[in-house]
Amino acid sequence: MEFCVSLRDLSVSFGSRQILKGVNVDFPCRKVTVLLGRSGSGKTTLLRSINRLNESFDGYRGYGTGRVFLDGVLRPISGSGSLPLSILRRKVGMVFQSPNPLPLSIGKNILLPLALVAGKEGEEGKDAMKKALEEVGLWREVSDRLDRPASSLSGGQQQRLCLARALALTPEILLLDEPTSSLDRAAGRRIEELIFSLRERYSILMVSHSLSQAQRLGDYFAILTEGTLNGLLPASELPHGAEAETFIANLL
Amino acid sequence: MRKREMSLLLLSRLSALLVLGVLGGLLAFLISRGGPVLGKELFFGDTPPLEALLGLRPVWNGLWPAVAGTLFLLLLTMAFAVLPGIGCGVYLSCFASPREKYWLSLAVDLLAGIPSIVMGLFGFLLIIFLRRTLLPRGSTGMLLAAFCLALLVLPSLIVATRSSLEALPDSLLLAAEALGFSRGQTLRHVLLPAAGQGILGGVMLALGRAAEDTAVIMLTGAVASAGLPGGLTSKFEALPFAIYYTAAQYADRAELDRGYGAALVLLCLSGGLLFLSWRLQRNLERRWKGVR
Repeated sequence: MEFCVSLRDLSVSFGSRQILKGVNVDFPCRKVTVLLGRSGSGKTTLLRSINRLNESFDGYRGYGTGRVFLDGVLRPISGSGSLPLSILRRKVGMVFQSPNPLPLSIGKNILLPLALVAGKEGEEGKDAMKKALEEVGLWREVSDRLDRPASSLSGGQQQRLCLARALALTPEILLLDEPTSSLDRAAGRRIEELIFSLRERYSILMVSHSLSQAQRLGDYFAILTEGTLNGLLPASELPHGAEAETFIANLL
Repeated sequence: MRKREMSLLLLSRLSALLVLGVLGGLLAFLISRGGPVLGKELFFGDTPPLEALLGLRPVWNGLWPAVAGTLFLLLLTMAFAVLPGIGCGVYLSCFASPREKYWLSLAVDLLAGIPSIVMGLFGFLLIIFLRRTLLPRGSTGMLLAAFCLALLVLPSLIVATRSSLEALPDSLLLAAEALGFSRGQTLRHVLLPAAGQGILGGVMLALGRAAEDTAVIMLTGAVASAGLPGGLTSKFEALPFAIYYTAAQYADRAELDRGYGAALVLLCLSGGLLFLSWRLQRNLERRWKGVR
């Protein structure tokens, strides 16, 4: 199995609190891997250790090794031989639990990162923005109001905007941290369909709080229990229907 | 309980009314006394306005040199203060270690607590010291006054910048960092513009404080009669000093009324500057947001 992220003995603590305790896992390429676990089990921390976002928090300490497969090369996430932070984060896009557009216009939310991180400005930037907005099905909804504040969009549209913002930077890996949990049912479904349509082009690691969503989207499941990871489970090994729920509940 | 709530409401409403009342009363009084004397003569005396504005002929008994002096002084003060003020605020909120934060904010608080007359004395002693050492020909003047005023208003800039940056939600920083923005890019393109309104508040406070201060400038270069400001090291006239001087030395009611006129002019001047900086900030913010 080709993998996009490989973690060995990964431990993360904040202050005196240890969140991850020696995680060993290889996440497969161009598949959707869903991270499951009770709240506080370290799902978000695991995601954030892949784009080094944990380092933005006070008291962070991390041990172990992590490698990412980007541009056809396997490199360490941090330390010698690693990609510069801005390139790593550009190649490993992230969407958060609640939509977090920058307090800018709809268009500038995508144009600013394109200009600053990818160096795409002017017409080139606008083309990339259009492509990304089309990819998330937002272009027709917002093309005539790109200069309106992003906060004027609905929650679901904002989340799609955030996804488009990540996609515009041409990532290879997407980290989705409960991307539908703050949305209503219909908007959540829309995001799910999008994730489904992206799964062949991107390696997707997704935290989900909903077992049924995990079953709809996941090719693989990673189950976190109090900071440890008990390996990956392919969807084919999961029992069908209601049995799956008790099966996973037993693992948690 | 209900009664206490009612009295709290009443008290807060009265306090709000008090602010409005005081401001209204102050304005009404100033306008009633100073309003009638506003006119060409108050600014330019007997000198033809155009020639006075162009600096072709000196103004002897008008406010124009003081208006120009105050404007020039404010410009110079802000040129001194804005960058270090905002820079120190940024350092405090974004880069300083807890220990540095503690000592630096203590220093800022101490600086904020220094009375302006002490700052004026400091400037006066500084120039005496400089005359004895590096600059034997140095004297009090515009540059020294602006430097001391800048020290005086620095804390309000620092505190405003720091608190408005710290009031931004963490999610904003996280969103920018997750996109791959460097620390500098996040600060320059996301955090500072987002905190712009609050920083502007600090700039306004600093402008107002610098515009009204008399104690600093009367020890560092302001005089009653100097004509238009001649240069960075020359003595100058300033509106607050003119008001102070008139209030202390007036000979008749007409002269006192001209003092009120000067107060009204100072009020309008700082009001105008506040309006200008508000417009500037709003335009910058629109450009940043990309919103029409």
